[in-house]
Amino acid sequence: MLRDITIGQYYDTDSLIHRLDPRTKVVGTFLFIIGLFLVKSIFGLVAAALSLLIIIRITKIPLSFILRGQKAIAMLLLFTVVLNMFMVAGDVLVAIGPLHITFQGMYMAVFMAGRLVMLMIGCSLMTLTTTPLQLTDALERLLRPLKKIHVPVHDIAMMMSIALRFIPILMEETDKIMKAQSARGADFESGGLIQKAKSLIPVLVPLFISAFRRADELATAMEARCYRGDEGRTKMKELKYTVKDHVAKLIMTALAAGLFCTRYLPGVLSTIQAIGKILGRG
Amino acid sequence: MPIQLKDISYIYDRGTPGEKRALDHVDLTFPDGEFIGIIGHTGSGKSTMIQMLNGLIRPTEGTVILNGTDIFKEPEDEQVREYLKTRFGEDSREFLKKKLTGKDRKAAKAFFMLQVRRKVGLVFQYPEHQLFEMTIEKDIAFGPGNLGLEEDEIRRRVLRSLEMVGLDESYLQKSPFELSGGQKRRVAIAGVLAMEPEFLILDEPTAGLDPRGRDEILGKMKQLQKETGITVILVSHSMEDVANYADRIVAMDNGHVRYVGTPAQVFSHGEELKAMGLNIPQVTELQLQLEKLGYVFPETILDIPHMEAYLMGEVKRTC
Ligand SMILES: Nc1ncnc2c1ncn2[C@@H]1O[C@H](COP(=O)(O)OP(=O)(O)OP(=O)(O)O)[C@@H](O)[C@H]1O
Ligand SMILES: [Mg+2]
Repeated sequence: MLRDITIGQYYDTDSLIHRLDPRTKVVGTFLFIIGLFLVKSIFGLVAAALSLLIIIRITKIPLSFILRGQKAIAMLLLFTVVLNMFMVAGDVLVAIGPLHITFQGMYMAVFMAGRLVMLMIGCSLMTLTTTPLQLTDALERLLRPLKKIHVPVHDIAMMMSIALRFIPILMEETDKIMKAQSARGADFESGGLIQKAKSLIPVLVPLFISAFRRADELATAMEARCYRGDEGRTKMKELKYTVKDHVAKLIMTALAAGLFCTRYLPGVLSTIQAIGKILGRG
Repeated sequence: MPIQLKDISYIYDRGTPGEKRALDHVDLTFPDGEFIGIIGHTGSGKSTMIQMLNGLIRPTEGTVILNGTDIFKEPEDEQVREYLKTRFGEDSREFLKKKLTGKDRKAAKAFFMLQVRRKVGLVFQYPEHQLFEMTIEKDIAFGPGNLGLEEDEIRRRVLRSLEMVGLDESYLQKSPFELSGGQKRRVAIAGVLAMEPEFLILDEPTAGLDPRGRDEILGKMKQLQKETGITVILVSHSMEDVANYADRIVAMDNGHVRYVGTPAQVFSHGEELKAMGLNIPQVTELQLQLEKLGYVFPETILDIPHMEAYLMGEVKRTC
C-alpha cells in the first residue's frame, strides 16, 4: 500500500535525459514551469503538452507509470476543477439552483487542471530521471552563491539528501512493523477514526525508536569517517557541464520563450486573417 | 492439520524496473507436529515464503491452504452468517436481516484472518524492534488482547510465555527498553507465544545471540514442540542448528525449493548445497573428507557423538 507512492522515486532507463547534468534538469524544469505560467491560451497549453510528451518519449519512461504516480493529486485536481467551474462568472451554460456553470468557468477549469497536471508531471520527470543524491548535489551547487550571505547551503543539502535517503528506509520499516503487529492480531482497518488512530500506536512507537536509533548510528558513522561539515571537503565527482547540457538548456529556454509567445498567437492569427482579407479585396 | 503451499509465486514491485521474483512456483507441505528447518542463501525467499503462511502477504499466484481452506478466499455468505451469529447472537438484528452488506463481509473476512493469525504465530527477524509498550507485561499481552480474551486468561498466558522464554516474573513491570538485546528478543518471542499458536514460525530467532542464549531458546522451542505437539518452523543460517533440532529440512535456492527431507537426506547433497551458497555441518564435512580417503560410512552423520562412536569403532577395528 505504501509502495504506491512514487513521489521522489527514481526510474532508471539510462536515457539521454538521465545522463544530463542534474543542474541542467533542475534549471530546465524551472524554465518549463515558468513557461507554463506564462501561457495564457489553450494553444499554449496544447503546445506545452506536446513538448512534455516529446520529453517523456526521450526519457523512455512508460507514460502509464508517470500517470499512475499522479494519483496523489487527484483530490487537489477535483477541487480545482469544481471550484473553477462554479465560481467563475460569465455566460451561463447550466444552472442548478443557486449554482451555475458558465462557459468561462468550464474553460478556466480545463485550463487550470491542465496546467496543474503538467506542472506535476514536469516535476516528477525531474525526480524520475535524477537520483535524489544527484538532485541535492545540483541544488547545493546552484545555491552556492547564497553562501556569501551565510546561508548554510552545504548543511541544508546534506540534511536533504539524508532525509531523502531515509524515506524509503522508513517506509520499509513501517511496512515491516505493521506486518509484525498484524501477526499479533493488530487490526489497522476496522473501527472509527479514533479506533484507527489508536491502532497506530503499536506502529508509531517502534518506528520513532528506530528512526532515532538510525539517526544516532548514522551520526556516529559519519563522525567516525571524520565528517566535519563543509570546511575543506572535496568531492569525488565534480559536476561538469558538457555540450549536451548547454544544448538542453538552450532548448528549454527556447521552449519557455515559445510558450510565452503563444499568448500573442490569437492576435497574430487575426492579424494574418485581416491582412488576407485586405489582400483578397485588393 | 497441515499448511500447504500450492504453486506459489511472489513478485515484488511488480510493473517497475526493480521487479523481483522472490518465489517461483513453490509447492510445499508443512506437516503437523514436526520441527521443520528452512535453509537457503541470503535472498533465496525464506522470509517471503513464511509471511504467506499466516496471510501477511498475498501470493501473486497460487494458494495457501490451512486446515483444508484457502486462507485468502472471500468468505461465502454462509460463513458470513455464521460469523454474525457468533458475534451478535442468534436473535440479533444483524443475524436475522435479509441482505448481507459489504461491511459484514469485510468484518467476517477480518475475523477469519484473525483466526489464521491466531493459529499461525510468526516471529520476524529482529523482533525486538517491534516492542512498544511501557511494560513487558503489557507488551506480551498485546496479542492475546487482540484475540479478545478474558483478563485472567491473558494473565495466565503472559506468565506462561514469559517462563517459556526463560525470564521470571520480576521482569513483568520493567520497561522492555531497558533490557539487553538478547532479553528484548526473548520478550518479543514471548509476545507471539502468548497467542498460543498451533504453528510457530521463527525467522532467524538466534541471529546475534550468544551460544548459550541460542541453545536455550532453541531448546525451549524443541521442548514446546515435543510437549504440546505444535509445529515449529525455524529459518536459520546455522546448519548445525537445523541439523540438531529439525526433523525435516527445506533447502531453498533463488525462489525454488531444492530439497525437502530429513537432515541426513538433505545434507547428503553436500556438493550441491555448497554450490547453492550453503554449507553442511562441520561433522558432515569431516565425513565427506574421510570418504574421499576411502572410509565407508553407513549413513550421513550430523552430530559429534555419532561421529565419535564411528571413529572409535574404526580405531578399534584397525588396531
Ligand atoms: N520489500 C521488498 N521489496 C522488494 N524486494 C524485496 C523485498 N523483500 C525482499 N525482496 C527481494 O526478494 C528476494 C527474497 O527476499 P527474502 O527476504 O525472502 O530473502 P531471505 O531468504 O529471507 O534472505 P535473508 O536470509 O537475507 O533473510 C530478495 O532477492 C530480495 O531482494
Ligand atoms: Mg529473511
